Amino acid sequence: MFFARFSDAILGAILCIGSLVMILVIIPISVQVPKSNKVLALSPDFWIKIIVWISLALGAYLIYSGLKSAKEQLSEEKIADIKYQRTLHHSPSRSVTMAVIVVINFFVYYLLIDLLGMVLASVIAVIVFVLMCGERRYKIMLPVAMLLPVGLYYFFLKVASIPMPLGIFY
Amino acid sequence: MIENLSIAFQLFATFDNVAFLFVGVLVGCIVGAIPGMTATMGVALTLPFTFYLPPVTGILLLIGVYKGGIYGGSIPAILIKTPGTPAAACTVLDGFPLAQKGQANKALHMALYSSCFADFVSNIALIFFTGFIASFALKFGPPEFFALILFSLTIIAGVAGDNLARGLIAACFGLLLATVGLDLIYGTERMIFGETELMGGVKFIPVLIGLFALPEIIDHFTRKLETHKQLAGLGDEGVTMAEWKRCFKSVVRGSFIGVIMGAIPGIGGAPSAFLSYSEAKRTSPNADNFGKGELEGIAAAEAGNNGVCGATMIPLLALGVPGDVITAVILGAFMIHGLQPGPILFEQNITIVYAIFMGIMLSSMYLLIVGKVGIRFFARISDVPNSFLYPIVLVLCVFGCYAVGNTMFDLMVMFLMGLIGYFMLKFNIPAAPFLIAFILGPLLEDSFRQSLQLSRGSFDIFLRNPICWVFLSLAILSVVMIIRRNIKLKKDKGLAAMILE
Repeated sequence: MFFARFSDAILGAILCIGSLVMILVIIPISVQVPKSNKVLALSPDFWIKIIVWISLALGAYLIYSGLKSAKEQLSEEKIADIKYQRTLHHSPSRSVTMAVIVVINFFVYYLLIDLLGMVLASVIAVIVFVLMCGERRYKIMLPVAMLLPVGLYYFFLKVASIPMPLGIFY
Repeated sequence: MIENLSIAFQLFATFDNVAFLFVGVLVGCIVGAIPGMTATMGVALTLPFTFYLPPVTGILLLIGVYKGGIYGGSIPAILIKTPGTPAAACTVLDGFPLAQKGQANKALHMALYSSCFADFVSNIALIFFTGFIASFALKFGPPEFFALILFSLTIIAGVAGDNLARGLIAACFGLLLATVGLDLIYGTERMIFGETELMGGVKFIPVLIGLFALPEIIDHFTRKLETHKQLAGLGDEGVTMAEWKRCFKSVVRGSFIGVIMGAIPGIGGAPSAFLSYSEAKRTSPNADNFGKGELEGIAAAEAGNNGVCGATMIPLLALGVPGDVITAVILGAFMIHGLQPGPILFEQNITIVYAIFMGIMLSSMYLLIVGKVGIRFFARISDVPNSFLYPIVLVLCVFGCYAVGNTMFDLMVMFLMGLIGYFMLKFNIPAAPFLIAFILGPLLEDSFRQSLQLSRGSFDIFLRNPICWVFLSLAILSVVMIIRRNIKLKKDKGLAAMILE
């Protein structure tokens, strides 16, 4: 319930910190402003600064409204929704772990494409993700894992004339 | 006139024309239905085939692919929450929730009917109002563009859901991401950190796929295995006459929004779909149901993006100015065949123009037939178990995303956007305002700065033209209405809480 109660304030804090980092560090470093510019509104950083200042204001508002509403009781409707979500998802810590594993797998998939090529990396990715879904019907899994990437590869290569990376098999 | 029409009919009524147009619509639907394959890609890939065809046949083939592609994008948007084309991003908002309720058949049919209707209206506009609309669209300079885009940005409030602050946060993220790249005026670097791939800005398709499809896939794995939701069946229900009548107003409005926005070069289908959706939500008695599976939302979005199709041909045919990338490719096809769109085309090759008009009218009917038959095949997607569907969607996303730019960098952007999208999902930050801001951001900034360049820094330029006045007034009016609605909502909530106590 902590997250539900303080989600506005947490988001507001993240937003404020992010906006300040943008204003103090990222914009000065990464946005080049020519000295010849004399009109403020034509400066390359004009829009970016406006957007970031609005974000900062929104963050501050969220912290204020989040802390204010955190003192109030959560509505019964909200509590019921949280309880329902919990019946669907793993525990919060397990959910985070699963999400991290999936994201790591995404990036491993990305690296494998570079290394092994699109087809082989996709075959491995399909097998891994299907197994993660709890599927154990290998007679379906393996043909799907092989045929889909090969089919897509030939579709893009022959029909659309778009070559896909082949990695070390190039 | 009659003689010209008669010659044009003879020119059009050949087996090749009728058959190639059909093939074009069919190919377009298939291309649009593949995530990452856009209608633009479809048209570009078909272009070489037109070299060996007569001019009318070749151009009709391209138009068929264009129209089919725009409609086809709604199919994966509804069934697997992965818009096939940028314009279909808005269809996701209500299409996917309806599919989850087991009413995908209804959603697909509504998308088809509203697409065909809007396409038809757009074609009529193309035929009868080409001259008038083109001259109106030509009055749009940078200040008018700025006023229009500013007004369009008020859509964000319409798609932000219950929490306006979170919607605005999403919009800020989108606007910020849209500023990445080389500065338009000075050519200086903006947040590209030495990465040459970012010089042209962050590409749309990786953002789109990453934001909509990947968070859903990540979230799927955080669910308990026993509660893994199987995609509900397609359902048997079609669209009833009562439902069509209820949505008809939004379809008509969306069609006209599409026609007007399509006639203005550089706008495209996605902003039109969002504006149509927002207007439908603003005026609908079922406004609260939007975003949760409201049929009217699908109707408005699809009418908005398909209403653009015929209208983008207006500046092309009347003035020789392509309204978007697709019409630029079609312009290329005209030129390959020795034709120069614009007033000269109407003077020297009026029969070809009429023949194309006839084909365009037929394309709406083909779209209905192909879509109607195709829905039965699309039903197969809902039969695929989720344990296979999500990995398959992931692979489709990866292939589609790579195909757009032929670079690994796009894949990295897609995965990073997936991560950001998941973060947004967990914090209940809606994705639609992000996308709208990301689409409209560059247009807004460019038109603003171009206006100021024209006026040498004077803001008066935004108040010199009646068109600016109209759109700026509408924008202010929208903001006032949004604030009023939010105050009223808060009051109602407070009152309800008091009564409960």
